[in-house]
Amino acid sequence: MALLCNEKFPGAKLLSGIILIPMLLIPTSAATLWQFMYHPSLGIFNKLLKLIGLSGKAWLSETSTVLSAIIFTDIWSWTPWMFLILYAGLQSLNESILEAAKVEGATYLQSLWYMIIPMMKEIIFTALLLKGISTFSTFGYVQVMTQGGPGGASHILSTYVYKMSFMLLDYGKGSAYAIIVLVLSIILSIPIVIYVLYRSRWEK
Amino acid sequence: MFCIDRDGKNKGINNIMKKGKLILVISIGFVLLWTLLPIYCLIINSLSPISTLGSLFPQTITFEYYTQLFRGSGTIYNVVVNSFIVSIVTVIITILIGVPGGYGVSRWTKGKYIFTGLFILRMIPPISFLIPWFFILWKLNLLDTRIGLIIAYVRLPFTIVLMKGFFDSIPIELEEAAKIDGATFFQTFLKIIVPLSLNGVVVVALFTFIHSYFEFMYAVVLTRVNAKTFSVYIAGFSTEHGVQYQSMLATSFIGMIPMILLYTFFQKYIVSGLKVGLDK
Repeated sequence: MALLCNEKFPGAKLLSGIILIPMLLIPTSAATLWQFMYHPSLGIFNKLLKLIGLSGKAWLSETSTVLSAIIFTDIWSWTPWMFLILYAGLQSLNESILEAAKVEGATYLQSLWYMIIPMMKEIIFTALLLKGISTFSTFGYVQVMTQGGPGGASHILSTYVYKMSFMLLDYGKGSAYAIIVLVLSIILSIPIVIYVLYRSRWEK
Repeated sequence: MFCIDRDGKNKGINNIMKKGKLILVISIGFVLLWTLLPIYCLIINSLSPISTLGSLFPQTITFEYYTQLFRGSGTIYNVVVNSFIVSIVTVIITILIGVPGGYGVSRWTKGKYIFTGLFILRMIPPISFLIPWFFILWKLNLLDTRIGLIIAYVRLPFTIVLMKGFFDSIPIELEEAAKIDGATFFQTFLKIIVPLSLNGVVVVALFTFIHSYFEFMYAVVLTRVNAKTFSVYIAGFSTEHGVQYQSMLATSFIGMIPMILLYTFFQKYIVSGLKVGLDK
């Protein structure tokens, strides 16, 4: 997507503006909006499927589809952030190198694979990292869309902690789960911290 | 696409050009569909009456649900005011504490250790601190108040880590020069350092605003009635007895307006903030 908007064609700026729209929606709204779109009889997905002749599904109340449905929503609302990060990265690339590659006769796919992706390796890595961390603490989508249901099929750590402590009022168990999250995230963050702190030393 | 578009004036590669154009058009179409389909749904369904709810194309248009939000009991004025007060005060407090904090971490020789600690703190998902916050605010009698929510929203690790990145890029010689010219420490900080890092301050302010405006998890636990923000209010439309979709979608749309304004005015800061945030 970011690649697309780095191209020079009429309306590129407008398109990049449009891509950013999901970012402006309050995440809870996005969650309820998608919940509406997944609605078995009113939702747009089932209506569209009916147009093609397929029968719809109750996306959010079947254990097999509920997680993918939520993930889909999460991807949708994260697209603009990812787009912004990668777009900023693309624009800071050195264009003359790409021009040179073109003169040498590289096709677009070649220059994408051998030049752009290696040059943006670090940005892609950090973007993935950022997304990884925040996915770990996703809460709103799951809580609003399914509240962990059906039958606990879509529970993630944070909704489980919430359910334990604020719906079942078992603060002790909830805190225990919260501590597990804490320890887990500290363990996960140690390599990242080391990487960030010592990166400059390695590069020299 | 890359090469084709820029070589557009060269003749002889017409065939490839056509193929490239086709791919370009298809990908633009896909992007538009991906982004705009939900937004289209949002607007159409917030305008349609209950009888035609969920239809692909609008048959009748009604503004009933928008006017309903501003009339009678349970209006959204309170919610709007809460959201704004909480977000803006959070931004102010964060800036007042976080900016000098970031400066300290950046300039103090032992700041590195503090930075490491803060960085780890930043990685921890907020759910871990939810229960402690709940009990702290309960004991302080601040549950369901704006002040309580603001206290929980001030994110110092994030601010300090980001501001340190901005302060690191200011050469220390500038401060030494100011000292030689006879400026006191506070004069140096306020008249030289802060103006130079103003960009960073705006970025931090923006991200803090967006965070507190969007936040749901803390808001739903720490507020009940009086201090509801937009996120909680919108989620409140979906109950066990079904969802009031139109009112919810209309509220979503109203909640989107401040973000649209914010984004149009501060677009370049968001992009530059992401760049710096990635570096650190």
